[in-house]
This record gives sequence, structure tokens and C-alpha cells, in this order.
Amino acid sequence: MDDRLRASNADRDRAAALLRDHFVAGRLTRDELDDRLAAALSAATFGDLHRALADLPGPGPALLHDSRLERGYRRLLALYPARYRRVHEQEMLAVLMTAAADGQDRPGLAEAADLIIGALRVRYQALRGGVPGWRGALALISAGTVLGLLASIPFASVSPPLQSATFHLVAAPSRSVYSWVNRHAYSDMIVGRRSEALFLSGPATVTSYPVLARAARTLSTGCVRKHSWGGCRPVKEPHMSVRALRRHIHVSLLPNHEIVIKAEASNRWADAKRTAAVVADSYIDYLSNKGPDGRHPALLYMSLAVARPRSTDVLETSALGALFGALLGYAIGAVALIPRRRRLRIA
Amino acid sequence: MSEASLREPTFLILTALAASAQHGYGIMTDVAEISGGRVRLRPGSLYAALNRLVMEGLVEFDREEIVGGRLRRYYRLTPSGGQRLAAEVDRLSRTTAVARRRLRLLSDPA
Repeated sequence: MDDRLRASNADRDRAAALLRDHFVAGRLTRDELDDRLAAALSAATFGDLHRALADLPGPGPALLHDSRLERGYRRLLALYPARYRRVHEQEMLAVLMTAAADGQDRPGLAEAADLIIGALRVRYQALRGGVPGWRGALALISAGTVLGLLASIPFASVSPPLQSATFHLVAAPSRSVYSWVNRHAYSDMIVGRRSEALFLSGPATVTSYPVLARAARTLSTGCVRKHSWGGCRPVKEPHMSVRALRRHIHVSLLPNHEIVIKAEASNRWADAKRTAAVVADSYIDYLSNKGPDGRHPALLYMSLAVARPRSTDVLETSALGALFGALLGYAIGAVALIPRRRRLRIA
Repeated sequence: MSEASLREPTFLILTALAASAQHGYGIMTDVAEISGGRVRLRPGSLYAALNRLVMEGLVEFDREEIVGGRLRRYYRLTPSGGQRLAAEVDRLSRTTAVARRRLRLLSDPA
């Protein structure tokens, strides 16, 4: 940065902040700080600021300011084609830094969007301008793949064929409590002080009659008790018997002591989710009221998650989208590049 | 391609370069001024447009300068760029003349 350039208020503030840091670090006495602060705050140019910060280690005010912003811009400029960047990067950087607001230390959202779109446009222009043969085709195919992939994600997440919902119950909210629960409940089990531990009795207890009966009652008559995960809405499902419920519920115990409650509904994911939630709810309730010493509830810090079987659908749809995009890119490439080759042959 | 009308940012960039060569930031401020602050080009769209105009042969590099340790590259209109701008100005003025005539008929139907 040129020493003759004029400093802004933000530049002066930054220099003052740096001086205070150096005073705190013991590099300046009180008097020196006052003198230099006065010099920095009345500085007209970057030269004045540099003199105020003379013989102190670390970046100067301009450096500190520019490097972060400049790095941000450079990162965005990296999206441009290498050939274009070799010619234009310095020049664009100069324009960006000149246009940047006073004291700005990172590219704004609108600036980033503008540069990303600009990079795409320049890349597209490079293709139309005739990148030779197979490289152009390859670029089109890869662009098509990426676009197809991006375009397919909304479709995948909007209409996945969902008919089952899964609730995961873990015995503790954090790893430390979790391992504590494991250790203590296990040792209690071994020495016979506790007849039942959550993770060992999980699957059997979840499908036990009291739990399912309560869940069936909730599902048939409406909401008994509200929990934060909102599984319990006052809706009626008149034919939900314990036996029917048992058919819809699959409970498994993972090796990491996670209890997985999976519910199925014939057509709607929301129904499946509600069923799974009500069963989990009922199970927690059952365990809270159980326990000979009433100490069970203290251990039952349940963390609860609803898993929506989405990832595979997204993967499948996205792969299809990518394939489609690649084919489209190839088609465009074929149409766009063949005439050029013909023209070359004529010439 | 030369029959298609110019889009406004392109038109403004060519106009900014009509009188003299300018560097990127100069074009940005000039475009804002010509359009009365209505069109504010950002660097990304400016350079994409410049790249296209250079490829189409309407604009070319003029010279480079180093100011404050930073590179400034100046651009200028090529002869065909000047022709293109002149043709566009003609087309626009014909259209506006017609529009003006018809507006007069509207306000003065007698």
C-alpha cells in the first residue's frame, strides 16, 4: 500500500487498536502510547499511520486490512478459468479493492454472488469462443453433470416415497453422561443391584404390553401428554389395537445402546412419524414411572431423533440427475461443436 | 448477431468507452453516472461483459498503468465497436422518435 494514499477513519481506528494491543503486551509505555495514539488518530496518510506504528512487530494497518479482504476476493476469483485469471486477476482485484466499502474486511454476499455468476459467464463464453475439441466437450459434460446433480436435489427431497419413520432413543444427551450411564448401569447389573437397565431391556420393553397399550390408547383417543417433539396430536385412529400396533412397530437395539423404533404407515410419512413418536413417548413414560427405587428416570436422559429415510433417495435421484445432466451436456456439446469442426475442415 | 439490439449494460459500457479509453473502475462509475445511478455494475458482471465484448471484437485493450501498486488496464472501443454503438443509437432514436410522435397523438387526438 502506497504511503501517500489517504487513510480513512477505519484505518485510523485499526491503527489505534493495534497500538493499544502493543501497550497491553508491554511494548509501549503509557506516554509512548499517548503520543503514538495522538499521531495515529490525526494521521492523514498511510505513511503517517506507518510512522505511528514504527518499530512494532506485526502487520501494519493497511496490511491487516487488505490481506483478509484480498484473500476473500482471491478465493472467489479462483472460480474463473485459469487462462482468464492469468490476464485479469490483478486488474479485477484492483477494481474490487477500490470498490470495497471503507473498513470492509470480507466480500459481501452480493459481491460473492456477482463474482460466482461472472465466473460462470466467463467460462461459458470461453466454451462458445471455441475451446478446442474434446476439452470443450468434456467441460460441457462436467458442467451438465454438476447442474443435473444440483437440479435433482430439490426433487429428491420434495417427493421421497416415505412410508416409515424411525425414532432413535439414546440413553444420554452427551458422550460423557452416556458413558457414565453405560458404566454404572452395567456394573449395577453385574452386581445385581439393578434388575433392569435401559439398553438391555430396550427392545423387549418397548414392545411390552403396557407400553403398546398406552400408545394404542393415545393413538385411538387423542393426546394424553405432550412432548416437545410433537408426536402427540389429538387425532383418532379408531382401529389401533395393541396387536395392530405391534405389526406396525419394529424395535431394534443397536450395539451402541441405541434403541431404534421404526414405525410404518401405509401411505403417509406423517402417520408413521406420529405412531413412532407415540410409542417412544409411551416407552419413556413407562420407564419414568417404573423402577423400584424411582431412580430410573434420572438415568433416562433421552435424546430423540426422527430419522427420515431420505439419503438413499437423494443419492438415487441425484445420480439420475447427474447422468441426465452429463447426457444433456454431451448432446449440447455435440450440437455446438460439430459445426465448428466442419468449418475447420472447410478452412 | 449485429442485428440483435444491445442489452442495457452493454450499451452503457460501450457508451462509457465512446469518448476515451477507461479502466474497469472508471467504467463502473461512468456507467452509474450515465444511467443516473440506475444501473450499478458490479465487477463480476462488468468483466463478464467486457470479456464478451473483447471476444466479439467491439472492445480492445488500450494500455496498462500501475497506480498505488495496483494494475489498471484500460479498454477502448474498436472501430467496429464504434459502428455497433452508432447503429444502436440510430435504432434507439428511430424508436423513440416514433414513440414520441404517437404520444403526441395520444395527448392531442384532434
